[in-house]
Amino acid sequence: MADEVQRQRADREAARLLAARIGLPGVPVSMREPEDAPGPGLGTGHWQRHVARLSGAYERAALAVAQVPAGGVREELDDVLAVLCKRLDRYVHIAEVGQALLPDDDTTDLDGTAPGMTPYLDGMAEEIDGRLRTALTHLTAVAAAIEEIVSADVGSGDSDEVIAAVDRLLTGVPAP
Amino acid sequence: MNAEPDAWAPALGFGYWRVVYAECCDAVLAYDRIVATMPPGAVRGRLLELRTELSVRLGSAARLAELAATLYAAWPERDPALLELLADDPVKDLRKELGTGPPDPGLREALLDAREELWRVAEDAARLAVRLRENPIATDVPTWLSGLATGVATALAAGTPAGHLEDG
Repeated sequence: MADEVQRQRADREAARLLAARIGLPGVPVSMREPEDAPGPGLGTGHWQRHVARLSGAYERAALAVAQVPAGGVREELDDVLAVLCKRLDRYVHIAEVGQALLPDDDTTDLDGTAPGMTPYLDGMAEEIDGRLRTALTHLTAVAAAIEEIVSADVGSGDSDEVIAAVDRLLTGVPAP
Repeated sequence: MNAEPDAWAPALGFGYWRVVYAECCDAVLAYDRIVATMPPGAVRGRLLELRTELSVRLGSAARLAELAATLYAAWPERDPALLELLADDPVKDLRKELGTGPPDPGLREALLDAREELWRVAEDAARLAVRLRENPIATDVPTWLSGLATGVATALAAGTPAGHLEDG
């Protein structure tokens, strides 16, 4: 019995080695051992890195808003942050679809990419990747604009001007 | 409840046919993961219904792969390891005894078609999942769903080589 299990393991390992050479990039998911299976949710590779960058842009905006004293201006900026948070949440879900379609994990090399390396993307996976890149451009632009508003208006107390700037911010940089 | 695709289940030895069948399994596994990312609701329910048809298609891909593995077990075109073994045979270099490709390229094409169609369905499901996340009240979802169902039907119809198999 133990010999049979050992033989099966060796056969499967040989099949995986061959698959890595002749198949599509990486060893097919269905031929891997559980420890090399795709990570759930965002995984631990390409899609997770997308979300880390998007979250970084959001955190940057939140940090800038936190400098503004309580009052009308702060409330306006808090509303903007709430919108950004919802957008970030949406992008996270879209990145999860990317991981579901084309998993990439830094915890295994069997997916055909070394840790930190961008996987080969085509079709819908490439489209999702493009959307997330556009989303990062959007969030980064909004974060930078918030920082600009905050640095110009902290202490000035001109809430009308800030409200107008925030309106321009949300309409001028449309979400992807 | 649909069975989990199992790349090791059919008797395919190890080589080209096993790998292509595993890639068919991967498409169905990707479909399952994509559906799992979707919020509960009618769209997800419909995709779960369509999954049964993918199991049927995967079953037919398994039969194609088994047939190919039986008829052309040693097809070496993309198997350098096997070519090396044949070259090292003590009697003579057996690579010269081999043809340049499988005697029936139709069988291989049928299996590759099945793989392509299954992946197309998985991609359509991903497109739908992204669309739902982008705009949860999208009004064009029924159209997309209909497109996906068409893709599944195409997958069911694709890849049956004439004179070899008929999908039940």
